[in-house]
Amino acid sequence: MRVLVVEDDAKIASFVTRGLKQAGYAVDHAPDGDTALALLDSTAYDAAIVDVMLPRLDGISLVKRARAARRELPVLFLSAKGSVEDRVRGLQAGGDDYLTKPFAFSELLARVQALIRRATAAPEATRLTAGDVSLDLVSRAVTCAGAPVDLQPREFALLAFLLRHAGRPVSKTMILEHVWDYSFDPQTNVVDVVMSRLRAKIDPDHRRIETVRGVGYVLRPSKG
Amino acid sequence: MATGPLQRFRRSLALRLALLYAGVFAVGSALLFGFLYWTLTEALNDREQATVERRATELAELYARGGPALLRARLDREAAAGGRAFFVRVLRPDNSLVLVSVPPDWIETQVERLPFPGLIVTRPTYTVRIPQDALRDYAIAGVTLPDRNFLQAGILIESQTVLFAPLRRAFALAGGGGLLLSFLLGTLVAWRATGPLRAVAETAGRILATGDLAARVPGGAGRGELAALVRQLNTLLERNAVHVRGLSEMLDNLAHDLRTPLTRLRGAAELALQDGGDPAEARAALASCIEETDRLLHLLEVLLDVSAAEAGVLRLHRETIDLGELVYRAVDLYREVAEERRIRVRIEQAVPVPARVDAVRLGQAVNNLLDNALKYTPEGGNVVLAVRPAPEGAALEVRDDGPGIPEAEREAVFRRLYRSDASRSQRGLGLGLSMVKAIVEAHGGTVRATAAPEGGACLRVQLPGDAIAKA
Repeated sequence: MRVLVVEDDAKIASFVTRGLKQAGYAVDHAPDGDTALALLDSTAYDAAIVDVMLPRLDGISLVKRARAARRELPVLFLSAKGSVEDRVRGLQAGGDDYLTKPFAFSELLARVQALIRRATAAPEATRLTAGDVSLDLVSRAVTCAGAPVDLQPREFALLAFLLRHAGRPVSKTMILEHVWDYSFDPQTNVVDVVMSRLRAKIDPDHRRIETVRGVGYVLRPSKG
Repeated sequence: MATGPLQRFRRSLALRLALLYAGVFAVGSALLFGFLYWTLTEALNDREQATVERRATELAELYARGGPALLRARLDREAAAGGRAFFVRVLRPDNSLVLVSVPPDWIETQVERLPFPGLIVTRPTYTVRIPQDALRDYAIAGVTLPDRNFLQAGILIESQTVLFAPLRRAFALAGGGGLLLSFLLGTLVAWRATGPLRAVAETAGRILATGDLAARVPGGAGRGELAALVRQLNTLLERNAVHVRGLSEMLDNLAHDLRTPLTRLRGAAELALQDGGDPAEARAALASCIEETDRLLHLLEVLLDVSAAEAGVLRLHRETIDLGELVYRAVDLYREVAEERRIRVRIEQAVPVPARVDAVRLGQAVNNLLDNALKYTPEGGNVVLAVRPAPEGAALEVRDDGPGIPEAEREAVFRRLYRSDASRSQRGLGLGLSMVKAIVEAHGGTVRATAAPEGGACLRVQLPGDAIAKA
């Protein structure tokens, strides 16, 4: 898996590159849009992380050009602008996801992994399983340690989201985006509330769903 | 670069306008006078010419009847009778003289210079004399006689140069005086009229030089365009001053609000750095550093929004939406939170209330109101969200049957970072209601806290008519 990082800030580029390499990706770094275009022409990438504000050729134009010339390439935009319009503009320009600076690296990693999987993986199985938790997307049946569990719609959606990212931490923002379909942070504790209800039903002692401080939550694939 | 008043005047628009007007005045009156002068001289000339032509024709008839003898006899008789003396002569085709009668006041040279149509004078063949009076012109007419001789008649007339000299003098005096007067008056009027422009430039220069935002352009009381310009500019300056004041207040408040979380962050980082500390403790301290950072970022975002709205610089992206839709979305978002506390949430709406609002921002305000109500309503309580058209726009109410807000605190709850004693135990930043107020006021509306008929608090948002879409 090869990822292109287009970012003009050397420090951010360095920590993103290092983190992605640690996670097992091959990483190339382009400090500006022109270099990025050249790299995209010569190399096949599985995903690109693109800063919106770049010197000379900006990120959105870069992605438009790359899209015009080439096949699908999952793109995640990075931007310091957090407003809803910027997000919409980025997504309309052909970005698949959008992350606001400052961000947690774990959240970036989770989003990149999700992008690559969406682009490469076979159609999703109707059954999601991690450890002794299993969820059927069609029959909407959930079992935990062999026993059936009755979940409310949002609890069900939350568990499905966690199962899709099993083993990788997901942030509250990602949960709000995918479970509540909120594209901005409504600044509430609703995620905590639904999370605690879900935990009460399948994970009373917090062994399966772990809170990662400063990041979010992670569903452990196996017990212990 | 100091400029004296004189130098400023020399470059001024007023002077240029006055000069232009004076120039136009001068050209105009010169044209008028020229035309008058020309018409007058032409009229006089025509009259004199007609006199001599009549005389020449009359004498020619006489000559035709009786020849030179009869003509001479007539001229002698007339000379003896007195009256206006005419110059008369008859010439043969070879230019030799048949007859001449020269009035006593003609001079010889004048006669020589007389035009002889169709003839060429080669030498003088007669002499005349004239008194010392050079300021005269002559008018002359010629007639060809039946025997192919040529008869000429002429009179002396006042020289027009002399005749019109007083007129020209009068014009030079009146024109010159008028020109000077019009230039002076024009300068005065133009200088006064362009006064507001100078005041505007002066004020702008002062603001640029000193940064004094309180400076205003004096004047602007009149009704003309320039007075309107001055008023508009003053309004603009006033608005700018308000914005700048708002922004600087916002910066002050931000700096103040960020100090506490930054101190906590710094403390946690210091703890992580302590020598000989337990690695697990260091990790925990770093984790709380991250958490503090997130809180700080979150606080910063909210404060920026609140401050921008309070300073009147929050940009709204209005769209038409049913206010009930916003209420429904908020209730849906908080469904589990309400269930968790066994609070019944009810929506009260009889008719659609379409409004032109920023759906994201106003939605955030509704969320905050509901969040607030759910926080302060005891378990098992009730919350009602009501939307209805109001006499002036629309009203949105969030009521609960909780303990309510004491009368003394009903203003204060909207202040930023205000936490009532009762809410200290609650999680939150103390920004929810100030955010609501900021967003609603950015929409031109108001929000008030009152007592609900249910016994608890009632937060009432009133949106103005222009935020309400015409259905």
